[in-house]
Amino acid sequence: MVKLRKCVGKENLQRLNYLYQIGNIYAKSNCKQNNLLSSYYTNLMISISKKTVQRLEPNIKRNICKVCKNICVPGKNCKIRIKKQKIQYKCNICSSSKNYIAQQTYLWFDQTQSVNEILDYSQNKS
Amino acid sequence: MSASNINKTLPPRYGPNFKQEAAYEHVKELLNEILPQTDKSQIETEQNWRFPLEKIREEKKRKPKSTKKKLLTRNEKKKLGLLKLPKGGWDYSKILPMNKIWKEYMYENLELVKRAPHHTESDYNSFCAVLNKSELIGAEISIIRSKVPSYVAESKFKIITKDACVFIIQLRNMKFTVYGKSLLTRPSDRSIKKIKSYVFPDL
Ligand SMILES: [Zn+2]
Repeated sequence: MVKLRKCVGKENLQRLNYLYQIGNIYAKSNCKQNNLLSSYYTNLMISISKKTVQRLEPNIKRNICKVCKNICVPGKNCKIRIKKQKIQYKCNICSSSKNYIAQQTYLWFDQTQSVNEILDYSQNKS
Repeated sequence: MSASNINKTLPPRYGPNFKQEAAYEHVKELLNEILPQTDKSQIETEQNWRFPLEKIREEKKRKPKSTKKKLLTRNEKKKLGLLKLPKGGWDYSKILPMNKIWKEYMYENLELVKRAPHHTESDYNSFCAVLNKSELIGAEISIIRSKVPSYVAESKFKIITKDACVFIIQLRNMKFTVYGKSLLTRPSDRSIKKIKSYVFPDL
């Protein structure tokens, strides 16, 4: 087993990851109580990422409804339409919507030069 | 030029960027034609000509009010109940699958090699820091000591005061003892706060 160099703030990243995962479970159901749980976890996720100054990945950030903070699961929780070269996310719970430009390399994140270093922890599992 | 021409648009030589002197001359010409003979002598003597509409033209247009939609305010969130979870009516069996994910997450987070470090080893301090910063939602926790004796070893859904309790967190074949005092912060604050390596063991 090879011991990898430690990534800065790894425990915070893992905490964010875990919160996103359990938020995703409860976002799918139509029960109101479960939707509250999901929005509670995403609220926690956002406040942790603000305080530890570790920004969320753009695709994750776009999946979160900006008003009720639910995770949008297309087909169950929200509608996705393409209108005039823009992607529209519409939340079914609070009926708010947001638009993004539909271009593959619009974000700096999507371009290949933006990757600096990759640390792979998946081999470390025992 | 005559009085009937006043209401028509100006000829192109008097366009938007013609000079002020030209404007004076144009008005003088106009007045010469319109005014009666008795008043014509006053045209030259009147030195201070006033153009009341001149100032309005130079004034900048006001900026349009921003049409950005406002998100929910804190009071609105409170009315909808987004800030706090409801106290009753939870089904324990529905929350249970969270525990399975939590075990995997915790095992990876702590980077354990089959056992936790002993308190005499060098890893111990960094291990405690990671444990403090990890998430406890979905964990399997029991109370072993408390100021309220009826809490101990109880299996009920209940809201308790964390201050006067000692918890045990169970992960596979390991147990971690945690004092309730170290959990008294806001859940998001726990990620940045530094802990003391030694806490005086007081209930
Ligand atoms: Zn929404």
